[in-house]
Amino acid sequence: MKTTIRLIVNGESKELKVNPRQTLLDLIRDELGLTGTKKVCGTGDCGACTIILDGKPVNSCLILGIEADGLEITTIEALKIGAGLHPIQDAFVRHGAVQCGFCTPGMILSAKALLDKNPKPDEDDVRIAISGNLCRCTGYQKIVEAIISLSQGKTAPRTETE
Amino acid sequence: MKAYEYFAPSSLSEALGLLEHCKDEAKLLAGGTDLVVQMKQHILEPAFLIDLKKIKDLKRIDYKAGQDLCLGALATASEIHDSNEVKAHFPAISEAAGVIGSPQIRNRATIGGNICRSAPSGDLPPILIALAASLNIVGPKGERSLLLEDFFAGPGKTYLNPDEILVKVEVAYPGGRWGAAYLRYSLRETLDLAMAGVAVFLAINPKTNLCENVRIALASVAPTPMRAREAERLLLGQKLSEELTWKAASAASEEAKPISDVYGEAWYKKDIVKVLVRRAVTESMLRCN
Repeated sequence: MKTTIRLIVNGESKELKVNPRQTLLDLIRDELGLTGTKKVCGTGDCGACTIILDGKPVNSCLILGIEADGLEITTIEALKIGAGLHPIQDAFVRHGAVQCGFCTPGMILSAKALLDKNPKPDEDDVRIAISGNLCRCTGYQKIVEAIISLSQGKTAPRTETE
Repeated sequence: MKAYEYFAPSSLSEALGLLEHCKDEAKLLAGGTDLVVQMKQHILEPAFLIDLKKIKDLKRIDYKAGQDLCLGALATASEIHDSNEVKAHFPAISEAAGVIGSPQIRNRATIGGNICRSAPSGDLPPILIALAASLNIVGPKGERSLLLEDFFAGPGKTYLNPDEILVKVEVAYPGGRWGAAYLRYSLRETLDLAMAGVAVFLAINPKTNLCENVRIALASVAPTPMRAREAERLLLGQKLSEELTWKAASAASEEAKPISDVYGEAWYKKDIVKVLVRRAVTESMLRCN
């Protein structure tokens, strides 16, 4: 049962053949060559495969390829601004929020979805927004600081002394 | 995953027609946050998938003052959590929807899927049971309704027939002074199942100040969501005090039948039930207005 689907990826229209065993994550990585989105747990438990669908972060490993017909999705590659870094990427780099980098695309997209919806998140909003993205390296603090630094609410992250 | 035939009907009657032909080998697909995992793990290998997401009517969240809250089976946990009407009139339902999985999961997982999956640890069933929710189901012979509480047959099993589709969940707005709460305890704050979940609904008679109605439903401590009827009996008709609340909490803890597993020892889970029942009863009382 190979079927053709049409979807919009990072603003571009794509037509893809999909077999039933493929998830949307497989299509993104294998058919479209967009390997920024990572394949890790495969069960929706880590968030490394996070993409944005209708403005909302979702686990692409849990969406069947065939379900993607007619959808509009954003992957991490959409944040490319010429040769420079997107403000969220820049904040992550400046705050030391990237170590191995494997969780980073998913983290950044969860952050983007949050900031697009709520430009003034406080620390609790940020921690909830990234609560579906696991990081084994950083302990999350730098990631939280990076995202808060972009909050128009000028919220300072909680420190150990509080 | 095993290969399957995929259909995305755009109406309920189309979906029912498809189901009629392949009901024994078909699975209904909503958010997929559970089904796709089970397919990947070869726990379920449906030959046919019927995707319900194009049936827009199934997503509606409707509330009319003085009438029922209607949650369409395909409403997502995020939509229920964020709904201003649910937050305003049934905050405990909004809160329960907000603890499921993670933001990514909540953006796809549906109330219909959460109910029909019949996981003992499901977060929506207990609060809905405490609020006496009923289900609206359609099949080839037409519509039927039943109490959510009577829907669960066992872990992973419900009384939904293979040729039926859950359409919506209805919650009547309780009369009088009432309050409800859902509290759960899990090892991680997120992306975890409830080790124990407690939902409480209670109503206080404004003249006598006595508890005139109470329902307590527990998650994760039995094969299906269960009512803590002994605890309820202790509270019904009484003036609620700290002491009585602890007595009821102890009774609920006794009634709970958790198993020992990776989430915790049975004795510990029972202790958690006791603490959560006390907190949820207290919170529900505070919410009575």
